[in-house]
Amino acid sequence: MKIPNRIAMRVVPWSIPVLTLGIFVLDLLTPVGVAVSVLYVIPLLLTFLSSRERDPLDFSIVATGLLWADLFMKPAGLHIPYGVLNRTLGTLVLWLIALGLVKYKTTQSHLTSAETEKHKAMEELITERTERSHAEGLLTAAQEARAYAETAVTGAVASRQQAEASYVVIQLRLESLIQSAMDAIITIDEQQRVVMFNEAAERMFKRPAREAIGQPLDRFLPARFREAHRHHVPEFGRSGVTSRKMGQLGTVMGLRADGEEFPIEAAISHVTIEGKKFYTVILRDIAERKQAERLLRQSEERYRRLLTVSPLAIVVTRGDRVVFVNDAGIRLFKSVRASEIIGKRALELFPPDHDPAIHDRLHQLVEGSATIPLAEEKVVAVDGTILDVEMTATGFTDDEGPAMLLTFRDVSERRRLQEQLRRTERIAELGTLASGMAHEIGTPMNVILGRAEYLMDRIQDEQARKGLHTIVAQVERITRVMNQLLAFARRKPPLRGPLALKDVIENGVEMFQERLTQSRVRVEMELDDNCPAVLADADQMSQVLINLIMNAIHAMPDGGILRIGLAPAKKAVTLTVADTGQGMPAEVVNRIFEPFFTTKEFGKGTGLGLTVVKGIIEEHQGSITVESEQGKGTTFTILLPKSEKPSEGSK
Amino acid sequence: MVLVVEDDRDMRSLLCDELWSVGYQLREARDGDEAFLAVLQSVPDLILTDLRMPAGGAEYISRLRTAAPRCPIIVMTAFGDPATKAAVLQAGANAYFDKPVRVAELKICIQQLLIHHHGAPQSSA
Repeated sequence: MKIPNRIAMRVVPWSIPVLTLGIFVLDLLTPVGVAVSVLYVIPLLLTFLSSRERDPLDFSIVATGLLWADLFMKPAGLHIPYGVLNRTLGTLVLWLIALGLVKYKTTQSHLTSAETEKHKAMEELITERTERSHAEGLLTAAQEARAYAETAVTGAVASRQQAEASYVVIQLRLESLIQSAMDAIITIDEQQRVVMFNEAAERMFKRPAREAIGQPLDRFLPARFREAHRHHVPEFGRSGVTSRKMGQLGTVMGLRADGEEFPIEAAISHVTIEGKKFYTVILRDIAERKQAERLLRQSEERYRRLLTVSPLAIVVTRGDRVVFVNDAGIRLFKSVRASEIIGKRALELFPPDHDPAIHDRLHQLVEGSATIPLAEEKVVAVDGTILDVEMTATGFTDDEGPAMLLTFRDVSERRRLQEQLRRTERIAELGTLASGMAHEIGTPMNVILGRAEYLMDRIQDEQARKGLHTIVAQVERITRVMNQLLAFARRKPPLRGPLALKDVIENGVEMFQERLTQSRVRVEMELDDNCPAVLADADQMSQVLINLIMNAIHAMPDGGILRIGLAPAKKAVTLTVADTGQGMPAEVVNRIFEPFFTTKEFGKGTGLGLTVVKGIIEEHQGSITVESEQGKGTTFTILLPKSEKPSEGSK
Repeated sequence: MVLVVEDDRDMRSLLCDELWSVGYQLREARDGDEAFLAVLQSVPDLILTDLRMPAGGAEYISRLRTAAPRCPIIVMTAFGDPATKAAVLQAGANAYFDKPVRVAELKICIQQLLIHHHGAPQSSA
C-alpha cells in the first residue's frame, strides 16, 4: 500500500477542490432533473486517502452547500419539486458515505496505535526474559541444544554433499563418455527436439551444439527422408523394443550444415524419465567406410580385369578341379568359353600319356601344394592338340582353402621359330664350311683334273685313257656337288614380288620340252586361270620347278605322265607336281628332304635338290609335302601364301 | 712371256707344263709379292694368277694393274663367289676362272687376250 499512498499524498490535496469545482460548474450547466450532484461522491471517496480523519465530514459540508446553491442559482430550479427531492437525496447519500468513511478511519487508527503498543510491550518482555535467562545460567543448556542442532545440521549437510559429490562423479563420467565418444550421440525429447548433442555430433553435422539444441531432429536429415523419419521414431517408441542396433535400420543419410549428405549407421534407444520419453540415437559416419568399400570393390574389379586380360594364361585349381581360367587361358586351350575348362579335372589339362615321372609330379602338384618355378610341359587343348608350354605353379590359400595358381605360356610358336632359326643357322654354318672347303679343295681338284686331261692328250692307250676319263668325270661330279652346295649356302636373299605361278610353270615346262620328249614323258597341265598371284622370287620358283621336273623325269625312266596342277586354296595357292614313276618306300619319303640324301644312281644326283626346294618354299612361308606309293608314283604338293597384290602381268 | 703366279706347286707345275707345251715363254712366282717384284723388273705379255695365296686378293690385282697398266691379267680362284669375281674384275683383271679350271678353255682365253693386246699370237700353236 505504499505506492498508492504516496500518489494519494501528492494528488489528493489539489484534485479534490478541482473536481468539486468542476462538478459544480457541470451541475450549473445541466437541467434541474439530472442528478449530476451524485458525482460529488468521487471527491468524497478521495478524501478517504487523506491522513486526517475529519476530511470526509468537512468535504460533505462544502458539497452540501454547493449542491443547494446550485438549485437556487438556476432561475427555474426552485419551482421544480424534482430538484429539491434530487438534492435532498444527494445530500443524504453524501453524508451517509462521509459518516461511514470517518468511522472506518477512526477505527483503523486506534487499531494501529494498539499494535504498536503491544509490540513495545513484547519487546520489553523479551529483553527482560533474556536478561533473566542469562541470569539463571541457562546458557549451557542453550549451547548444548545448539550444538546438537548444529551436529544434526552438519550430518545432513555432509551426507548431502557426499551424495552430491558422487552424483557429480557419475555425471562427469557420463559427460566425458558422451563427449569423447567417437560416434555422434544425440538425445531428443518426445517432440523430437534435440536436448543433447555431443562433440562427435558437432563434428559430424558441422554444427555447434548450442545451435543444435532445441532443433527438430529432422533438420539433420535430407528432406526426402524427413517425412518417413517423423513417423519412424514414435513407432519405435511404441514398439516396446528399448534399443535397436546399427545396421538394423539400414543405411540412412545424414545432412551436414554445409548441405553435404553422407551415409550413416544408426542405433536408437529410448528411456522414460518422470513420464517423459527420450530417445537417444548413436550415429556413425560411414562415408569413409563406404568409400573404402567402394575402392576395395574397384580395386578388386581392376585386378580381376588385369587377370582376365593378362597375356599369360592363368588357371586356378582347387582340389583337383579347375575353378578359374582367364581369357588367355581360354585361347591357349583353343576353347571358346571358360565353361569348357572350368570344372575339368586339373590332370585332364595334361596329356594322359605323359612320362610317368612327370605325371607323378603333376599329381603332387595339383593335389598337394608344391610350388614349381618354371618348367616346360605339354598340355592338351580342348581340340586334343598337344601344346608345348612353359608352366609355373604356385600354391596359395584363401578363405575357401588351399588352391593352386597355374600359369602357362604357349611356346609352340617360339619353338617353331627357334627351330627355324636353328635351321637357318645350320645352313649358314654349312655355307661357311662349304666355302672354306671349296677354297681348299678347288686347287687340288684342279690339279687332278688338269693332270688327267694333260695325260689324256699324251697317252694313246685306250685303257689308260678310259681311266683318265673316269678321273675327269669324278672331278666334274665333285665340282657339281660343290657348286650346288655353294649355291645353297650362298643363296641370295630372295627378291619377292607378286608372281603368277602359271607363267613360271609354262616357261619351265617349255625349257624341258626336248628332255621330256626324249624321256617319253607326257605333260598334263591343269592350271587355274583365276589362280591368285603369290609373293615370291621368280628365279627361286623356277629353281623349285626345275628341280621337281628333273626329279619326275628321273623317277620315270621308262616314260610316263607328268601332271602339274595349280589351284587356289584358302589364303594360298596349291602347286602339285605328280609323276607316274616307281614311287618310294616310306623310309625314303621320310628322308627325302635331308641334305645329301639321294636314291639316284651314283654320280647322277647331288642329294641337295629337294633340300634346296624345301628351303626355298619355307623361306616363302610355304609348305611342301610329299606322297608316294610304290609302283604308282609320287606327288609333291606345295602351298604358297597368296599375294595381297595381283601380279604385274607375265614376263 | 707369260707370268704364272700360283702358290700350289703342283698346280703351278701343271699350268707351266700345259703352257710350255703350246710354246709360251714362262716365268713363275709363288705368291703375290714375288709376282709384283717380277712385274716391276719387267712387264710380262700376260699374267695368269691365283687369287687366294699369300699377298693375294683383289688388292693385289689392282697393284698389278697399276704396275702394268696394259698387261692382260687372268685370275683363277677356287669356287669363287659372284662377289669375288666382281671385285677382281673391278680391280683390273681381264678374265676370271673358277677352279677347277678346264685347261683347254684357259689356253683359248690366253691366246685371245694376247692377240687382242699385242696384235699377234706369241705361241707357235
